[in-house]
Amino acid sequence: MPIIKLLSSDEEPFEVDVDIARMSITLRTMLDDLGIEEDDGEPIPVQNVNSSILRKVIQWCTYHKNDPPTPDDDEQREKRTDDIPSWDADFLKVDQGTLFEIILAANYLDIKGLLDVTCKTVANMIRGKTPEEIRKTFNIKNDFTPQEEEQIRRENEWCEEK
Amino acid sequence: MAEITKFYTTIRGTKLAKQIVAKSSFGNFQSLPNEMFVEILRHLSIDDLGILSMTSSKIRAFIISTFILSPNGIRKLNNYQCLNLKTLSINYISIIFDKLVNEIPQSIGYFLKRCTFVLPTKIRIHLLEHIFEQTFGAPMLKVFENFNYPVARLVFKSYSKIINCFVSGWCDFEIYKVYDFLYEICAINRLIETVHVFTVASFGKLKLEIYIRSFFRMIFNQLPESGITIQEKLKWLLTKLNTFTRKQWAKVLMLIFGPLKEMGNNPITCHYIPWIELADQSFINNGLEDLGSIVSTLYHYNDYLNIDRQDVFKIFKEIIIIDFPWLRRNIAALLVNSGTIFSNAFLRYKFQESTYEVCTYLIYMNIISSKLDRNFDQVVQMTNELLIDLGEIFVEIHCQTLSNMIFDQFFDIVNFDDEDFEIFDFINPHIHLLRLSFNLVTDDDDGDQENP
Repeated sequence: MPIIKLLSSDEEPFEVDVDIARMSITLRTMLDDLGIEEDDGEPIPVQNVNSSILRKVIQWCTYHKNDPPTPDDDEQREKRTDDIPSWDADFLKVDQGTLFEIILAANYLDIKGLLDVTCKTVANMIRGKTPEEIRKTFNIKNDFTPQEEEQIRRENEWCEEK
Repeated sequence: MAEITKFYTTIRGTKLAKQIVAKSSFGNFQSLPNEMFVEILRHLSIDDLGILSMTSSKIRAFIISTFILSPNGIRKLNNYQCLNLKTLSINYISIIFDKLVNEIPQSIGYFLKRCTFVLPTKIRIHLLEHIFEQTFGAPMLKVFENFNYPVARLVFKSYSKIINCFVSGWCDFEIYKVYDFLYEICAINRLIETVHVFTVASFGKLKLEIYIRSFFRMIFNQLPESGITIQEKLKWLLTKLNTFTRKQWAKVLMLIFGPLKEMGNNPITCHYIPWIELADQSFINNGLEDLGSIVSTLYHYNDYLNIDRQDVFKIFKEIIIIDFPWLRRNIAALLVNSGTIFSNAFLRYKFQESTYEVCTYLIYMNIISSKLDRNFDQVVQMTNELLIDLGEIFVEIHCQTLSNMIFDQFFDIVNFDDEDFEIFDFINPHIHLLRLSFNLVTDDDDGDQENP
């Protein structure tokens, strides 16, 4: 199996199977453009992704290397959040900062499957919560005045009596 | 952020805009680029998105900008496909009908409500307009041109749900602003005048009438979520009709609440208001309930609605002669549907003009109410009350008329082989009426009258 080297933003090198690296559209394009098929001694810099996150990304890609290709995003399709595989759910049991960094890395490296599952995980952290619980979870400052809060509470009662 | 800037443009210069800039917070989401945040939001249900918008004014502004103000923003909502009627077949629409007219519009209505809490009503209405534009278009006449009738009806039902959910819990004058806005953008005033001026029936006029009806039914559709009563909605309607004559009022009430008939057997074809049929076909079994209920509301809440009870009688009298005098049985059916109190009052009022007509109405009302409710006593009791109210003079002069007419009517109907009435339908109620009228005649004349 051909191997290539990736270099994280904090300059830690990672040896990765080419097939796993090619799960990232960004890296695939780069490899194709440069005509690289295996390690030629020169590591490929992965800017914007530090070593701890790159390690997680490689771990996820390694586990999912045999998955069928993710279908193109269908805007008409209902986006479900209750279909996260158990391995992914365990894999993403990380602190919120790390989760957001994985999202950013998945976006930068263009790994659709990983981006999808991480966004679903964050959506699940919002789902079914009250505004106050969401504020607490994501450290959102409540900038409504007490009077506005009271007005919101009163009008929101009409939505809850469905 | 570009999306938020769009929203600021909408509310620029207001105190609210300054507050948002000064104090708000995006929380940990600040670390994500916009498109990533949108990607997360797209995985949320519309309900959860509405709840999230209540966390801070900046997040609210972002959600409004992304999902309401952006072109095609609402298409980013999860499960949007159900709102895209143009891509759905009629068969599929019928399968998911409840979802289309209840579940999804309710979610959108509450989403809009939650996104716009504490914003000025003017801005809230502006955002409602955007929701319309991004779903099926503003509820204007062109909706009827873009969709066939069943789909257009579905659109109005769906909008009705959105509006009811959106304004739920608002005070009446704020709700009237929403209705006023709709009334204005749809140019309903002008359309009512057009319908009134053009007396010649044409397909265009028919379509216009159905549109006016659908528009008002969208507002009057009484849904439990709204918290606004039918009399409050009626009060708004009457203020809109203020410049019109009582004859026009009658026509508009008939347009909105009167019966509807299908043109042919094809459900895709348009329905129409059966102005002419009311003069020669029976509507006693259905179609007059809503109109009766509105007449009853006008009469009962006349003080609140700021209308004289005599005017209610006049409107009733106008209704039953549009465009041709109705069949008496249809008038009687409308009286039955208007409730005992109004009917009693109207008959007393009408009695000054024609005893004959009052007696005819009573007879038909008796048959209809017993046929519809299996209640033989309602009109008998009403007649009794009427006789008592009108006093001894009436009893002496008119009881004999009443009993004679009952016989006449009885034999008329029997001879006519009436399709509405089986002979057994009216034997029992008539016996009741006869008994009542003869008893009264007998009592007053100390038993001098012959037994029937």
